[in-house]
Amino acid sequence: MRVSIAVPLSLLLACGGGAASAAFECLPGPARGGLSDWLWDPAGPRRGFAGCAAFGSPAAIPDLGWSWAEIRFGTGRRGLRSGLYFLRFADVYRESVAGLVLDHGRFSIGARRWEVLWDDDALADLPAKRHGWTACAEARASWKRAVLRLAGEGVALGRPDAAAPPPRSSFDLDLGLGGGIRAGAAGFRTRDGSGWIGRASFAPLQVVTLRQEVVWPGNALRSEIEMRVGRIGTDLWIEPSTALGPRVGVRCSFQ
Amino acid sequence: MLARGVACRFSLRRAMLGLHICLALLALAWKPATPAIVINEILYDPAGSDSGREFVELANTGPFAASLEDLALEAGNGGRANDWKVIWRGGADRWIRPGGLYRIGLDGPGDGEPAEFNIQNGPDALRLVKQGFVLDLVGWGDHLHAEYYEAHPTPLARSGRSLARAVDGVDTDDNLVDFAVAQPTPGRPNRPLDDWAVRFSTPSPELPRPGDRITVALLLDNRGVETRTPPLTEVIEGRRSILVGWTSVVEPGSSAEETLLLDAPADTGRATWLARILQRDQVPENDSDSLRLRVGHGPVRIVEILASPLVGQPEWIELRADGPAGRLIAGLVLDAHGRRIELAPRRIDAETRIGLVVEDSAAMRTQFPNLSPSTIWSHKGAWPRLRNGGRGGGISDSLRLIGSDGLVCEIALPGPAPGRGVSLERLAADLPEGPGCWVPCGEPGGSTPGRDSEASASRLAGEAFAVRPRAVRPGESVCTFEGSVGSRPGEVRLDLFDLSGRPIRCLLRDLWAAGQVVATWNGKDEMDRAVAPGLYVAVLEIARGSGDVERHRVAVAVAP
Repeated sequence: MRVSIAVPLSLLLACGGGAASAAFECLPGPARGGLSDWLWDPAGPRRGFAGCAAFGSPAAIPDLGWSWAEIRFGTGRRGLRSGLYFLRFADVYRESVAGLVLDHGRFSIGARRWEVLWDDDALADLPAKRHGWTACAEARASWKRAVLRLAGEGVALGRPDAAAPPPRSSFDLDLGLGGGIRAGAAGFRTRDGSGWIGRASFAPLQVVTLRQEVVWPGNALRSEIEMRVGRIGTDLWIEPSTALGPRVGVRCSFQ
Repeated sequence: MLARGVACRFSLRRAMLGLHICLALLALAWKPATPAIVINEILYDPAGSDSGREFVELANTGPFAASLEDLALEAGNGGRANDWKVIWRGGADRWIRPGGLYRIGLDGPGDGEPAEFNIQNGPDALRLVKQGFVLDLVGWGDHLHAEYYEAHPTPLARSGRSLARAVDGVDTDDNLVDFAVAQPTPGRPNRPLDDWAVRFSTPSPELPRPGDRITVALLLDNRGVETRTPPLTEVIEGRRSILVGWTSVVEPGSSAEETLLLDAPADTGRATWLARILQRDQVPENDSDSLRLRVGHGPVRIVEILASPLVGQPEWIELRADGPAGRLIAGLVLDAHGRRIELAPRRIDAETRIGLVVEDSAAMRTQFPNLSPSTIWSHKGAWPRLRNGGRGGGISDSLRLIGSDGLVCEIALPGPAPGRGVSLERLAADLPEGPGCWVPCGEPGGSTPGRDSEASASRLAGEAFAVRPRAVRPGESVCTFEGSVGSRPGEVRLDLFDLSGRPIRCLLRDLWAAGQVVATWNGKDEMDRAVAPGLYVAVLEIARGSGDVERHRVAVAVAP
């Protein structure tokens, strides 16, 4: 069983003292970003049980908190994943998603139930509650050290809703170049436009892996260093150039 | 020898003859030497009481100083023929400088002497006499007797206005041509050759916050008779001075204008700027002007206005007083588009700090029976009926509070359109005036006289950055961001992002802001498209130079 916990550093700093928190502003939401990112798992089905959970509350934005959790079970060729995500902003806004994804060989297919609730005195006819279903699907192919993935998610089941998680499609090519080096590229298309992600990883030691990711357009950088000691791993990442300030996160895993 | 003596006598006789002929010709051409003194201006009916306020101004048009010895002013009674009475006699020790003016009666600038006389309002006349010769004569009104005017009499001047020679010192012996009704200028030229008047226009803003940039026009009026280039002008602010040079020429009656950008002091209080012309002209009295402003609002703020009440209900204005309890506030004047009422002196109430200026206090108490009578702030003067027909039905009045020092200490400008019976509330106690500073009261009943609404109470709590409401629906409602920059000004940006950090919209950018900043958002992006429902982050960034950057964030939810 693998358990990983992503904790925004701002949460730790907020607990430790107010002065430092201003220097490390962290975005709210799941560590990887947007509403539909949390169940994205490029690894495919694995044997046995695994679990993942994260929570966060940015120091700079009071009354905002989020959490997500995932549990999975696999037999090697088939697998089942279930995820739950929840975000709350005071009593004004709540969003939650619960999903179930079935892995079968090179394919995955799943459905997610989303729900959003606004509740504010200023909006006279609220509470306004929206909910719906979206579907996701993924296909994988590997040849020697190369892995190709095609994925689509956020596809509305029924009438599209502006409040629903946005649809996204992507293809991803990942290459093992030997010597602990991997390189990959992904193209994606969302409701707001399309872009590219380039990434590279290098493992100079067996226990240390360095990763670098660049997103176009915007040239957003993400740098990551993962250190493992036995079955315990620590992953420190930073996104220095977001418009809201640098994002910093720590992920601990046990496997 | 004899021949030489005869020739010499003959030459002398011819020379004497020639001298006599020359003297005779000179005598024929010569006019008796009389002083070139004329009456230049007469004020026979000053505003108010005439006693000691009438004056006559004489002008010496000659090239030499003229003595006033043996000069006399005689007043003529137009009702009867040949009825003259001496009202003033010149002294031997009095002189008028060449080209100068001499004021008789009424203390004032320049040369002159006080005198008491009672000139009739007309039809009457005044003449200047020396040793039986009439040097000048001025008659006004419809005369029956021609002895009281030169050619034609002048029209009567209404109270407070004088009869002034159209061109100083020029006498054509026709009173109607020579004189015109004008503003009295005792001791000063009626129309000087060179006269510049400096003045400031109304500044913007009229009530600046500490550190605000003030825009004001410096105007130089050419009140002379010649087209000239305005003189160098100095604007003084404390120890600093700005020199304003002018290049264009200005015709008589026109003005030169230069826009000035002045910085309000960093502290609240009063500020004064002085403008003065560096080159002395013929009328030095109007060569300087001062701009006096209050920086920062005064002890009383206008916090709620009901300008469009329901039928039978009164209009009212709610004021909130700052400062220690018990402090006396006196001398306040409430100005509504020029109509003023004087507020009675009042001590700051320790509990409510609120005063209501109402159109009809009895009707107000009937409508709000729980309203404490002590909350009503009494006033003198007729109620200035508030206009409510502004754009979109909003209040079109600008309300001002003027302190006992005559300076504007509070301004309330029209806000968004409220419905009937709905008041306008100020967003916070210390916001700069401008669009979006006033919002319709959202409380049940449409107004909260005598108390703070829940929303305003929380706004007054002094949060560094806040948004209300915290949810907005695109196209249907707006939210208002309020941030506190502090007294030290800085560059302020207010940007909106989605949760991934993607910029959605820049809501505010002010290169020099202090105090409170406010911005509204209607749930739309830069392209005026409604954003997707969800959560968004507003970031208020205050940069004060030297790397001192302060950031505040709030989240706002967008409903579908």
